[in-house]
Amino acid sequence: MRIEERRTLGAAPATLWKLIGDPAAYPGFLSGVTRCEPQTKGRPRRGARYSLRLLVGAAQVGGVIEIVEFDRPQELAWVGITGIDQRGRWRLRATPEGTEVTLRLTYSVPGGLLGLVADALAAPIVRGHVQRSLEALAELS
Amino acid sequence: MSVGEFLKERLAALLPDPAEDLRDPDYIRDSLALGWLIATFYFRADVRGIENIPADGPVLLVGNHSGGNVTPDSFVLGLAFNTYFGVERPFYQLAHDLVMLMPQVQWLRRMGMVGASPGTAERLLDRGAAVLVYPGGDWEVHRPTWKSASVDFAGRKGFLRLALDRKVPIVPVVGIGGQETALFLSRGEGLARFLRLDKLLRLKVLPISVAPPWGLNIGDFVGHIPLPAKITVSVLKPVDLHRKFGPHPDLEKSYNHITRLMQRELDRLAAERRLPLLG
Repeated sequence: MRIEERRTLGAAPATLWKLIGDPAAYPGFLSGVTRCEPQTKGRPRRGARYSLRLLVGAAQVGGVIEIVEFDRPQELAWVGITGIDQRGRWRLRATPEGTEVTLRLTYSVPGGLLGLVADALAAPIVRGHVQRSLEALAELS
Repeated sequence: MSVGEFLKERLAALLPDPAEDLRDPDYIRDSLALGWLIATFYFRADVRGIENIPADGPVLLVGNHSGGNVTPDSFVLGLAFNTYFGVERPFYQLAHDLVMLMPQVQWLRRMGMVGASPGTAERLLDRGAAVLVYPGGDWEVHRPTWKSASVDFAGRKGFLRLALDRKVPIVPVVGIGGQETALFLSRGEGLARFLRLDKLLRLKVLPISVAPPWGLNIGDFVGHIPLPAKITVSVLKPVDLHRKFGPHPDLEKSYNHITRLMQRELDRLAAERRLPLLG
């Protein structure tokens, strides 16, 4: 299942990157994220790992994620190393009005047919989190 | 050989080897979707404080138990544990012999259920596992519905000896809602004594409840369909008995401390509930 939301915010990409470029700050503005703790030392970079949890329905799902793209100040992507299969991506693109921000979450719940049902039923919850996260980002920037 | 001894021997032969480890992380992973669907949409589960469980190492989770022989609180906690820490972290649940005889036991054993026989929990903790135990067991799980908001371990202190012996922290886990998944009328302890179930099966109770699909349900031996009560589970902060009470903690004081902590939390959760079933 892929969830994607896009907003144009007034701030410049470099300003937004201060929040987006540090996954440890995600619980502060990403809706539903209860935890995002560094598992590797040093600053955020490609290869850095974090323990991320997202509250979806009755469970906090997630696991260890690894940053696989870190292109300041326009692209940050991660993949799940443990837990459910997931990918996430921030895209920042400068526009005359400020920055077009895209947040994309792709996930797959194991379990065959029931996994697909869970995917579909979780989608509105995850989409709500993504929408609220972009709204929070707009307020913070 | 008396009839009682014969029956005891036959039932013992039916029990699977409690020490056998059938936990299968891949199987658990494939079951998460079903678990999440049931927990989210049927029980509207709310799990709080799961992050209080130490991130690694052996730990003894001690819960109050509800829901008869179908226990939604342990199901919800299992889902929460496996999604939060990942199925890679070993997590086992100790169960009474009677549960090991139930039809769905093979499924439960693959989820990490093991028989509560002497030595099993010690071996699992020594391997670094998280182990869930319900000291109140059959006594607590079949308490009447109107005693839903009371922790009742019946004075059982084996879990304390286990934690002290293995020097592992205790994490109290408090659940509410399970006792609303059927109308539990009586533990039937007098009936159990009359039928000598305490001698034959270590059973102190022969519970009487009203539950679908049976209507009047005596024994709950094959379980029932639980009503969709809202399940709330609260995981408290770890308790290190040695740090709290010194090198040789008194069992009575430790027991009172743990049960008091749990009762206080259960009172708080009960005060939040407005309507039966709906929560």
